[in-house]
Amino acid sequence: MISLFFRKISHYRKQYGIKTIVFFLLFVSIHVIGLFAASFASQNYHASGNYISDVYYSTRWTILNNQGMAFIRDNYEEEDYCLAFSVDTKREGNCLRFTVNFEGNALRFGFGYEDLYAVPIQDSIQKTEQTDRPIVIVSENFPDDSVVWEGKTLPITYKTRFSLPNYLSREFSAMGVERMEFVMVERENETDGIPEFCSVHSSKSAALERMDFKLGKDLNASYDVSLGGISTLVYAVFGIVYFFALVFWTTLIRTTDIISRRELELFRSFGYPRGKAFGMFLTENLLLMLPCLALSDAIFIPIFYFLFRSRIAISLFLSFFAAFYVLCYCLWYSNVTVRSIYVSKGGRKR
Amino acid sequence: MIQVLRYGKSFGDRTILEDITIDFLSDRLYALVGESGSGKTTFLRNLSQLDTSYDGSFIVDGLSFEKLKRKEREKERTARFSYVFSDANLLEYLDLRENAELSSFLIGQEVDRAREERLLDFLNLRPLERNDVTNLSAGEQQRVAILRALMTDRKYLICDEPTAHLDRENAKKIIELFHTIAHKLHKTVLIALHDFSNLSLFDEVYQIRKRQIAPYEEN
Repeated sequence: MISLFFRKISHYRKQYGIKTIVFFLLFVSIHVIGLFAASFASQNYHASGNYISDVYYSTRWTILNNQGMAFIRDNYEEEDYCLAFSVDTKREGNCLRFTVNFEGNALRFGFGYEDLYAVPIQDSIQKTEQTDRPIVIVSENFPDDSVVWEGKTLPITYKTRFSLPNYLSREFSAMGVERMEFVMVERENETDGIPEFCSVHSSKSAALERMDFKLGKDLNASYDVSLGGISTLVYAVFGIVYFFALVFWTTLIRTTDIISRRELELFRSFGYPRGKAFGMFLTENLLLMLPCLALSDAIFIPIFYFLFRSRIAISLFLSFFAAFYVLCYCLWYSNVTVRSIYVSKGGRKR
Repeated sequence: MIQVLRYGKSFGDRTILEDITIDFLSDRLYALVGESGSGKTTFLRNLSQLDTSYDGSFIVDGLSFEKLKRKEREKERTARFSYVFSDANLLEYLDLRENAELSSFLIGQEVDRAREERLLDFLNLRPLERNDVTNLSAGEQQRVAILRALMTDRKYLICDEPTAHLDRENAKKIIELFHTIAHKLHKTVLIALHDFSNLSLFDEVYQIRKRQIAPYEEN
């Protein structure tokens, strides 16, 4: 029957082309909805779950530039702060290395930007015999005795283990990263607490005030106030749009069905069993659906990956749920169509 | 032989046919005429067990279909009846021979090549066998549909308005062909028609009138 199906496809190229496009548009539209949902979830996540409650964040900085994030405690005048600059990510095989130029107390606050940050585990900090500046902190698994930074070879001052948020660990694991190395190099020319491109403040204190710092706890609270109930509503809207998109496209798919009732009737008249007719009808739909699903995933999953790395699960979930829904729908309407041919109507059933 | 006993058919409150008792003898050509919507197709579908919801019973070669279980009934139906529809209903993506062999293919039977060759000659389709079925005329397509129906060598040939889309001349040729099939190939052929023009070619003609099937009488 498969060979019969492929001959039919090649004969009714136009009609099958239309049906394939409808299948493809179904999965594309699902992914587009997913993109909006992931974008919203991404903002939602930043505001609601990623801020350490007793740390100040420079909201201005993150808006201006994605290269750094300031973690500053209330008493920053006592050097209790860390600014991270020039985060450099380098991957070699299954090893990922982060290198950060920092200012402040990196041993206490770690480093990061946006939703990517790592914090040293205090108990694991080991000081080497090096006392020279700049301070160089590396992860325990760093293989070399020195670090090359901007053309200079710098000795290591501290070794420590770093902790990553769970979602980052999962994300890196999904990326195939088996080994992660962290390198933090102290900034040699101290600034006034803010990168040069941002400000020319005369004192660290004034500079930090201009950076519009907000306490993590307040950021989370402000988010809760502004989006608490609304976020549920927004997700509900995404859900409704998603549901109606599925209903719309699957209905359209049904109307573009190529196996005609006449063909099924003909097959039945020759004694073709009902179960096989159902299988044939279903197989035809699956053979059209699967390439469309694979192609749309091949296009959109990388987009999700690069735009919303930690939200790729949203894309996968929406895509696979859509595939599951379409499969169930095909099962249902294949059964309904075949049943209408094979089961008698009217009169008294004998 | 097919015996129809106290047959009736209704859709909800609407009765189409009722209390019909009639016999169809073997190797004869029967016509069933009537106005559109009178129940010709319904009767043939019930008689040939494509539709199994009706009142009364059909006894085919001594076998009462109503007493059979669903699978057995389908098996016996397939073994006895083949069909020709008003539209030739050929599969455009198959060539002439493949269309003819479709019935064997669908039920997993080996194609009887010798029979196929004989039928190609009998139906005068040999000159057309290399043609794409979409390039055939309506009459030629209907001949291919008849070839397809005859390929499985079943005793009863049920034809639902096979001349509906043909001009008068081609319609006559097809009816003559059915006459030959009934008498030379020893088939019982039942044909539903709403065209009264070629009735002289049939062995027997029945008419549906007032929910009954009775021998045809010219007004």
